[in-house]
Amino acid sequence: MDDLLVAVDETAATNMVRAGQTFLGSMTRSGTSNIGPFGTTWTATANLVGGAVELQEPDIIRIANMTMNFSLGFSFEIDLSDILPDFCIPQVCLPIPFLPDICTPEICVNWPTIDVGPINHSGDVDVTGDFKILTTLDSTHWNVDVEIVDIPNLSLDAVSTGIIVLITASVALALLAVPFIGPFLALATGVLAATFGVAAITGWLGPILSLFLAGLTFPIYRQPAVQEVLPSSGPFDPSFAIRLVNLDASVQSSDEDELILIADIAPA
Amino acid sequence: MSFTENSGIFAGAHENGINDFITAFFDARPRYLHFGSSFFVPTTTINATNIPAISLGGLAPEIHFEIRLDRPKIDLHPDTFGFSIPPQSNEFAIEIQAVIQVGCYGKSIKDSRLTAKKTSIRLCGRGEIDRGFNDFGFTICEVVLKDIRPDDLGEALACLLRQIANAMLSGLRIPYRSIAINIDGSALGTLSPTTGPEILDNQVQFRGNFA
Repeated sequence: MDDLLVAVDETAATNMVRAGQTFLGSMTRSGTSNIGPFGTTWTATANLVGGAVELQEPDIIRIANMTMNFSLGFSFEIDLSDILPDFCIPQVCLPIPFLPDICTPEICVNWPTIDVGPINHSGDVDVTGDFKILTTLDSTHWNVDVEIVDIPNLSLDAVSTGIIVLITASVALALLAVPFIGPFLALATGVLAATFGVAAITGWLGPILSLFLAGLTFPIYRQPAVQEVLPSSGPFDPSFAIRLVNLDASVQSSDEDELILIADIAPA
Repeated sequence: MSFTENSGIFAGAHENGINDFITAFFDARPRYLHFGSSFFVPTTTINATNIPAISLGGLAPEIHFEIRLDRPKIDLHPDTFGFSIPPQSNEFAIEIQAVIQVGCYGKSIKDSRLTAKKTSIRLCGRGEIDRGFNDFGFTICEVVLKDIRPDDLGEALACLLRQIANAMLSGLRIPYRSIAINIDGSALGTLSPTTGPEILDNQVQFRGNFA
């Protein structure tokens, strides 16, 4: 029989999860990835809050409808030569009687590479995932962590639509600064709109946000292995402590689901 | 049936765990097992508690004495260790070996040398949880001394030793949060028992909520 047995109900377990989410705080990732043919450089931060906690035997905590709040900043380059044909304005000559013709030079336009961004967007997305309970002992503390089992699918179409609006506006602003773009603006806009569709943005954004979920782990219980029971109460009454050994956590179901922690006690 | 029932938390300490707490307490504070007047314990230290000798109002020298107790072992109901007095419902049983020394003066009125006379005795007792707001302790309600005659001498000595044994246990207050492996804190709020602690199934158990 274990020396100590502690059981908490789903309400208390929910609060332990909340505390773990708070402890996790904001996570930051950065990297490069492509939207269609365009390479982007991005930085993202995210945190997780809320969700309904459901305890499942033998060692699973399901957190449904957590909110992942994220902020994303990204930029990319567009080489307009890839989407618009280079062209030349031909020489125009003005004949002068009895004199050599006066001619304008031939002007050739090589489309430049334009910088788009930085574009910043904040939003949130629902996340539901199963988390496995893991118990470990480091040099000083017992830790009960929850680790995500699989990366869940994310519904990002609504978020992607918002990002498309921002990209479209940024691209339009960048194009306006390009000399001679006038006759070609509609063509450029049409080609770029086809590239930055919902599927493309979702395909780009999904792996970025999934980085925050891959291996997601946070603590729900962390306490020193050596626990003071009573503090010192004078020169002849020193503190006394016990050491927790063999701590383990699991879920048991009866008429309600409970998170169970068991431990043995040893001399400190 | 769930552990928590209508509460947010259940915590149970098995008698093996309670005895581990007892071991840790008396290892850290051995003076609660050793009491003596100045002839035996000149001054209080971590290892021994100085107590007044028995005064005879100046009519004769004080009576010096010493009591040493072995570290106790507790058996929570139902009976596990087969103590002489088994625990009843919601009780614990306890057995303690005690060594008592009395300082005796020489037979001549002029002989002021003290000689220690020693005896040992085994206390068999049972008791109840002493509930506090943030912690709990153990109070011995009855002590029986076997083979002491006449019976009223045994009862008088049992009463004396019960009070000494309760002094031994007086410092052992176990916080509820220690039984709950400190699972409370800022995450859950302050732990507040709603039922118990009580002795059941070889455990000290309580249920509570977080405020």
